[in-house]
Amino acid sequence: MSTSEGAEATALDAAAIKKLVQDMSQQELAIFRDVIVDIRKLGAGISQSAIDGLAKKYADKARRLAGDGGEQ
Amino acid sequence: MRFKRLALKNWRSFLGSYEVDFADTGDRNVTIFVGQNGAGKTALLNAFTWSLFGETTAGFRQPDDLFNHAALEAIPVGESARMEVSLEFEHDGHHYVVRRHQQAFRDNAAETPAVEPPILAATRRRVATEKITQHEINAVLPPGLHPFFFFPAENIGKDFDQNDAAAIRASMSNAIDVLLGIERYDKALAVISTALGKHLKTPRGARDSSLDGAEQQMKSARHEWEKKSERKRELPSLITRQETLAEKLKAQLDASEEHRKAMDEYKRVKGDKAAAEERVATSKEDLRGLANQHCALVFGHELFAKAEEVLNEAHRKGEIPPKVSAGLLSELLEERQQCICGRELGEHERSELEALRSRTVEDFVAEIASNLRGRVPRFAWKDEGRRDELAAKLILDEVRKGAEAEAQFRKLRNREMELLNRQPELVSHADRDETMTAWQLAAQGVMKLSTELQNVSNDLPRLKRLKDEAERAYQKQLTKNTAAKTIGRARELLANVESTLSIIQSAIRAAARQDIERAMNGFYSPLLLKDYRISLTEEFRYAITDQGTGRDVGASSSEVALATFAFVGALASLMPEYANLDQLLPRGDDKSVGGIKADPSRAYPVVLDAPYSPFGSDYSARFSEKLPSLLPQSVVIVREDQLQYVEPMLGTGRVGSAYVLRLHSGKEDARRIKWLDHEVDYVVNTDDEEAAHSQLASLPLE
Repeated sequence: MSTSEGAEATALDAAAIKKLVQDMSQQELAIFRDVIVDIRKLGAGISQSAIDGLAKKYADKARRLAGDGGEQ
Repeated sequence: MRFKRLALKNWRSFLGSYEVDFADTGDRNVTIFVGQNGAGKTALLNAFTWSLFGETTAGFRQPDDLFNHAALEAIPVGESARMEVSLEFEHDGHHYVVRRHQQAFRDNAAETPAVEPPILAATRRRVATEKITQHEINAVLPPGLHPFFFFPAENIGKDFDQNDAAAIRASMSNAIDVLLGIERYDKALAVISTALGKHLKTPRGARDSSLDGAEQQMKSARHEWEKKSERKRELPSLITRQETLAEKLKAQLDASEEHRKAMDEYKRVKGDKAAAEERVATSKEDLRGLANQHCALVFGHELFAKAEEVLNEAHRKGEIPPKVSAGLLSELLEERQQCICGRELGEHERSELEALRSRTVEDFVAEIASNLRGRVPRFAWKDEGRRDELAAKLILDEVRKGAEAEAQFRKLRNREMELLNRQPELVSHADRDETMTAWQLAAQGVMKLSTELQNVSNDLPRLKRLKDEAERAYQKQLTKNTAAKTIGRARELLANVESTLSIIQSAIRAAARQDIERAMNGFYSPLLLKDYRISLTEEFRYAITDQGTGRDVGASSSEVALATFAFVGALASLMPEYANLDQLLPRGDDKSVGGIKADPSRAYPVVLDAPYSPFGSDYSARFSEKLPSLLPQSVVIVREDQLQYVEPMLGTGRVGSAYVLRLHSGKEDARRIKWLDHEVDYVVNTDDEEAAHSQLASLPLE
């Protein structure tokens, strides 16, 4: 499907995005923003080991936010 | 962004220091470089990428060997020398100077001087001058985009393994990601996916069969979804490679077909030539027969006239009889005189005359026959007999037939020579059947991969749904279990973030696709000689549609190459707009992705190496005509045989500066080129001992 055919779908996507972000919980929003900021800081050439490090960081963060406050 | 000045010192083939000022005003916005192959055209293109990013273009030979060899060899023991490229440009109210250099030092006479790693020294100035790093340079022009702004067009259509253009086409989607920074969503998704896959598993103490089953299902569904998502990402470039291979094989096949046709024609021409040769021989034979048949008339008259002349002459000189046998002459006079009266000769007379003619002209029938046109009418007029006229007509007809056969023979012989001369290039093609099989396989491969892409695209929503359902089921099982409750909630948080990131990424891509497609057509239409339009697919592959019929068309190689240029133009003109977006999310207005209209007047400059190589002459002329008005600043690097295409830009005053890459070599003959009304040194023949190198010299504009 070319973009001209998909213009309406894109407009809907824009509205859907706004609603999606609005509907996110504060905890989800915190993870969402932080992970984007971290990636931006590390740049496009981020290594696999850096991704693994961030994955551990956000798994821990999600656990803390979910209530257990520490490592399993 | 506007280029102001480029300075080179001992860069690759350029020995010594040179400065180039770029044309950057509205009316005169094109800078031209002219150089022959080996004079440093690609080195010049790479001077931009190396100074800005420390990188060279794909296909640039020996990218680590940048220091000019002659300069390196000339370094005295204990001393050092520098290779340096410096680019000055203006951007967003700042004046940037980006300088990258390498230092070389000679320890001893025996070894080549050691070259140190490159060092970047960059500044920018608005009011005060400040030092900047690679990061600030990348913020002006992301390094992932340099293949588009410094464009080696010469490689379009060449072997895909060495072809930047194929890589460029394959990386169009990646380019959009770089342009918009969408790749950060890819990386963020990788982080979340890894967190879910590796770090938030069922705790050891909480395992039971329900949880294990749900976890297994989640893993399986996630694995399937990730595998297909990855496949969807890699398929467009695989298809492009396969298409390029198919195009290459098709071109070989066409050449092979051309060869087959040429061979068929050669055989036919050879046969026709033999037939024409036969006709020439037959005609000569027929002419001889006619001459023999009518020799009593023809040669009787001829001999009579000659004999009369000889006798008269001899008589005047008192030399009767002359050297000519008097008996023969008498015989001729008495017996052949009757020939011209139209009387039918007797058998004896005929044979005697034929014998005489044979002795006289046996080997010159053709020559004599060719002169008959002039003689026969006179003879026919003199004779006035019907038989003579008939003879004249028959002979003339035969002469005409002979001439036609001769002309046809010559024509066929020339064609045969032409075909033979083409054989070296024609016979070099691979076996046609093998090429045909390889092409069919490649074409089938394209269809197979395209079908797979379509199927994967269609299947991904289902797989995502299954993955989400399995994830939710797993979370449910986790939260039911006291020991695993927190893991379940944590997974829920991350899964929701993952879902949101994924939707946003898709939405930005879809919106950007609209901007790019619109901008590409803005560049494509003026360059085209046909009413075609580009449509971008979801994977940023382009299809070309005939606006008249509404059908997708198999565009010519020129039109496909122009589509690639249109993408370059689209990026250049969207770059300033995208760089200043407040946020990445599409909002449905003209200030966000999806509603951005490219402004060509603010487009980034583009450096095009050999832009005319992929085009035929029609499109080359069109390209030159339109380029200065499509881009606010462009740099065009050409060979001397492409000068004809830049002449219109010179004629209309759009070229603001021009330089020749003058090759100094002991192995090449000196050459000059014509530039406007000037003769300019192009290749300078030097002492053999001097290493070949290039110099940059400015060219006059009037």
